[in-house]
Amino acid sequence: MTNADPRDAIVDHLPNLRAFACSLTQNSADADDLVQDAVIKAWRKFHLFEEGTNLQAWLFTILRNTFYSDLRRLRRESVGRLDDAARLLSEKPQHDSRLGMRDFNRAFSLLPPEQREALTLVGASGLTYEDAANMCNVPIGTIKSRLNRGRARLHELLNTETSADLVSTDKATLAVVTGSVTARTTAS
Amino acid sequence: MSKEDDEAQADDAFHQNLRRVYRKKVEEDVPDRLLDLIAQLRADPELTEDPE
Repeated sequence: MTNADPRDAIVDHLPNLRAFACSLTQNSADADDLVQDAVIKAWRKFHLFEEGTNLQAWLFTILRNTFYSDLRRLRRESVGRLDDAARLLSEKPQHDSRLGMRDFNRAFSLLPPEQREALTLVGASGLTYEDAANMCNVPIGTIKSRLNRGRARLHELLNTETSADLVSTDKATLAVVTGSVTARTTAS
Repeated sequence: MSKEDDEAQADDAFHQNLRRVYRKKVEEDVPDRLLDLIAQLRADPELTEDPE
């Protein structure tokens, strides 16, 4: 009988880590780099994981901390992103009965990471408000507020007023979560 | 239909799409580089030492 390494359980969470990472980085390659860094940290710090608690939440926490740590070093890029937001707001959205994939992708990517994170954790990965709040180390009200502000900002950027505007936006949403390269390969 | 109803429907549609796409990403094959990394971490104790 072999002694299984408890850290082997990390492998089972790689798919969810990749999906969460994609929503933060907006780029598949960067997402896998982020997962790689987070896995190394988790492997080394595994003695700090409390057995019986939620391993996925613990891994997500390490991943998001790594992301924000990297982001702080790249803050200078925020000026360019503000320029993008101003340009997007000044343009009419592509409205040939559906949202343009590029518009949607750009709009989501222009949200602050905290709002993308809240939308992904609660809206996509199925975490409860409480789990998401614990993971982000903020009160539940903050998660709800980020979620609401993220939605409002999307409406504002995309000028969407009805659900009809969001019909058939799978391609756009795919781009949002997985990055444009993956979206191009699956959108047809 | 009120503007609030419209916005709520739009939010629902948005969340449904996000969930569907998140699920698609989860169902993708994990790249070899990440599986290789795990194998490397298992094999090399030096890599697994906590530097702090």
